[in-house]
Amino acid sequence: MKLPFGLPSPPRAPLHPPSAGALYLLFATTAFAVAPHLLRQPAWIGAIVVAIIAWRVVIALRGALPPGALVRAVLSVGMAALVILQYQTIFGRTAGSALLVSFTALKVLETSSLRDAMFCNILVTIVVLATFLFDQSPASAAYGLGCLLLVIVNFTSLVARGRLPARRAAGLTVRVFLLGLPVALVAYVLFPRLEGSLWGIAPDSTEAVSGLSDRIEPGSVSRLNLDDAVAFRVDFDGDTPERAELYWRALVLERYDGRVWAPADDGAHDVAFDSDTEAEPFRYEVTLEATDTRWLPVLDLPVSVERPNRIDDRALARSKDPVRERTRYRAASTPARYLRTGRRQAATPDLPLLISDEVRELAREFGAPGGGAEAVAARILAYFREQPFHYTLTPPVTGPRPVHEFLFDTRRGYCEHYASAFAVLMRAAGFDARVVLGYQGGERNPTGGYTIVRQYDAHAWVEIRVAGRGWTRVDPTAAVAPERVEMGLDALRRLASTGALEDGLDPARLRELLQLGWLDAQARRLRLLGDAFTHQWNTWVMAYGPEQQRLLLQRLGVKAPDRAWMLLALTAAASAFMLLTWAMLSGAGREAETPGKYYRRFVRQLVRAGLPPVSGEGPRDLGNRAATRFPGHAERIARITGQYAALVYAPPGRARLSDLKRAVRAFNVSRGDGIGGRDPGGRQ
Amino acid sequence: MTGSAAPLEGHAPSAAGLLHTNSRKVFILPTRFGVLFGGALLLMLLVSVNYNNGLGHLFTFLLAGIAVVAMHYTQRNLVGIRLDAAPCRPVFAGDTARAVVTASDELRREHRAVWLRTDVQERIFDLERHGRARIELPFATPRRGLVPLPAVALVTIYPMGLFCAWTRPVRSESRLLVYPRPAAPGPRPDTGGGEDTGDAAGRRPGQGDFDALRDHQRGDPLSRVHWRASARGAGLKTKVFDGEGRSEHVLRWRDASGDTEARLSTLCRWVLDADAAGLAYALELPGSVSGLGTGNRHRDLCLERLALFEPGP
Repeated sequence: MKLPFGLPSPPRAPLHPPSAGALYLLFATTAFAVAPHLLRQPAWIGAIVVAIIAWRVVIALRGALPPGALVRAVLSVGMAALVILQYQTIFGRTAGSALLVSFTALKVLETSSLRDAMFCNILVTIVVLATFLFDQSPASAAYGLGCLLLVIVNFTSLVARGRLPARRAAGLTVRVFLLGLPVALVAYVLFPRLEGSLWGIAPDSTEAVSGLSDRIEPGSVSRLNLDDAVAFRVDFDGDTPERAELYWRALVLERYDGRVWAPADDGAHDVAFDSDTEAEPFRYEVTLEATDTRWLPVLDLPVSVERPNRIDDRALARSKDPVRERTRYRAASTPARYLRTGRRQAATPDLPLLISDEVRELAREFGAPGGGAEAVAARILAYFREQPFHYTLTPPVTGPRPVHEFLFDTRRGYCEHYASAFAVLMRAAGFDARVVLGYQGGERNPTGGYTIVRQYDAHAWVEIRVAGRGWTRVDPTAAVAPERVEMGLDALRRLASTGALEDGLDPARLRELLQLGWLDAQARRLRLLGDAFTHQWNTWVMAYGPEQQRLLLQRLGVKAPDRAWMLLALTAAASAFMLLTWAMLSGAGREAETPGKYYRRFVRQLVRAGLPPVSGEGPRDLGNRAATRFPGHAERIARITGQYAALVYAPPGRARLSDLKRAVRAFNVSRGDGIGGRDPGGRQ
Repeated sequence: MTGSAAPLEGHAPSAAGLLHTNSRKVFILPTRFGVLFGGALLLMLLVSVNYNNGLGHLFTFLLAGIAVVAMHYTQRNLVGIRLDAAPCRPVFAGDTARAVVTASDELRREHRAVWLRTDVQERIFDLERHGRARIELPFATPRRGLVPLPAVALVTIYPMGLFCAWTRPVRSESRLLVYPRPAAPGPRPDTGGGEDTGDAAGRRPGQGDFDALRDHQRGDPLSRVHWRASARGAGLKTKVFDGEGRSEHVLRWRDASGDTEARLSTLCRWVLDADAAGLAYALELPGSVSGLGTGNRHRDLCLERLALFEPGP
């Protein structure tokens, strides 16, 4: 290779075979790095990859040679064929990582020279990156960090050929990492994030999701799912609304077949809302866990949601594609009471056939006194409250007429039972009503100042249509069990476990029962702390996109952080980093600790004291001249000259630099010490 | 600064050292692994961008930052090394000479896995803080004469192998004296002129009786020091054998046969033999004759004349 500017051409890098220890460490690192991939792949891929790496280790232990090119070629083609057979493609995360891991294992099998080993180590970094495509949790990051440090150690031990003690290698690794960390963080913040992807991402959701079902069938199950997985987390811009106001709507069920409530089929329209209140809307950001559906929970009643999501005419927010991984969106909701837009509900003409005569009769009683939908609703709620209805998490299973049995026989149930019965009664009385599915409440995390909504906060309530005003929310469960809304389901669950719930205790007694023991309170605090960390992590690592980036930079004081600004700042930061590390590491500006350094200091002193420099004069002559000029210092001058000469010209060993250093430091000559006003410079 | 940098009178400037590396003398470029690593980083960045993967971004930037730090470490590994070439002992052509280079740290820092490289070979060494390493570079000397020492350069890819730092090759100013290859032991030269008394051949100097003692002179072989006399406190005395000084051998160019190099080889052998025998001998080459002499110094001077001999036109 020829370099411009007459620079000497670079030599080939020394390529000596790595030590056995370095190779074993490399193999171990590779095995460590591919492990998480193997857990996601079919067992046979894992078995083959493990077998190949083990094979290579056995070869190394025996001191034998790796298999020849033919064997490796056959293995490569075979592995590629198997992966294609398994996935029908080599693209996408899962198939791609299967291929990557297979070839990494085959590279390990081949590795014996420094070149192979370095290549293999670089492959390991790509394998680690591929891990992050599946899992961006803090645990995954810690794992990646471990791999990263191992990769640095590998590079070092491959190059140093066993000449670097383990402790030094560890120290160097940590230093290199810590020096590289700041610029990585700056680049992370500043590197412009793109909306969308560069090329299509093959959808291959493998994540298990839990969430709302899109239909309810009250009475079909005798136990409510109390999954405490996080459904979503919410950051409010301003104050958080009261817990009893936190109704998160996700789905509206309009079709009823006598047993099952299901959503209406007809497509939703994109509708703009206008609010019937002057109150300032709540603005907030939701971080939703994967649901594999398009429903986005939003606070009742939503007015706007961040693009490309939209709100339909039932005031439901929808994403463009199913939510396959954790996602964030901003939304605004109004505390308004009536939803003015929206169609009439789809008629259920055969409703009379679906319900019993007793139910129909009951509905007629509620409707008879007249009044609007709200008056009828109030009567039904009063009925629920006054009759011996119970809220329970473990209702009895009902037969083919669930509403009838619930209203007249069991009178026990949770939100779905009450919502369903209420909506049926309203419809039977001749009013529009529909069931809304979503979440109610949420746990406020004081550490992060956000609200956690869990799967067990799932809730069902009813919307009725008030003539001339629009749809309004009615929660029949709240009539029976106000504590469900005020305290949340978690509290109810704990009460249920003590058996206190069945007795209908007064609220003060309930609160007392709910007081946590010290240990439980601490455990809860720790749990919330952990969740706050997870939430921050999700915000700044997983969901750090263009919007988040803009917000952060604005918070840091950048007025208009556009892409050009970011690139410019990034370039500046990278240059500063280059200069800084160079200054720290190269020792620029640091003069070598040589005899010359101190001798020059000595000569400078003499010159300052009036001894003119003479070109071409050796130390001995200079010493003589100085001694003549400064007789008072003759002895010291002679000593320094002698020490310098011994250091520079004598064979190494005897003379010590520290002596010269000390002598020069102690040497102090001033103009007044000299004799004779002018020095006849250069005279012998 | 004047004066201070000038050498002491009479000293060769070898004390200045063969090489002091500083950041201006050290060049650095990525190795092929570095280029490959850069390619991998680019790929990783593309994947991270495509999947909007935060951890992927962070990981990629971390690797890039580490690579840059490693680059500075690579340069740092070469900066602050002083190389000195030790004077090299003369050898006979065909022997293996050993150039000795001393590397020492000047900047109170460690240097790891540094390669000292010549055109044909390389040696790895480490330096502790203020450390010193002695590196021998054996090299073949096929021809007699004043031979330049091999040029040496420093190369390192430590710590991560992604960058290669190197210096220009430097060559010591001192030369290696290579004597002609001695011919195979053969018949003693006919010294011509009948001046050889023949005595010396029968006597094995250094053994048996000696004839006189004289003050030791530089160049007298140690085997002929009379240690007993010295032990008595008489100072160093050298045994003088009967006949020595009287047997005068002139080793003549014209007595040897063959081409120039063959003759020089033969003369070399004769000089060595005569010296081993403790004879006084003179060396006569076309155009010059040395005086008679004995001892190591005389031998070395004669060998040097043979090494540097240049046949006339």
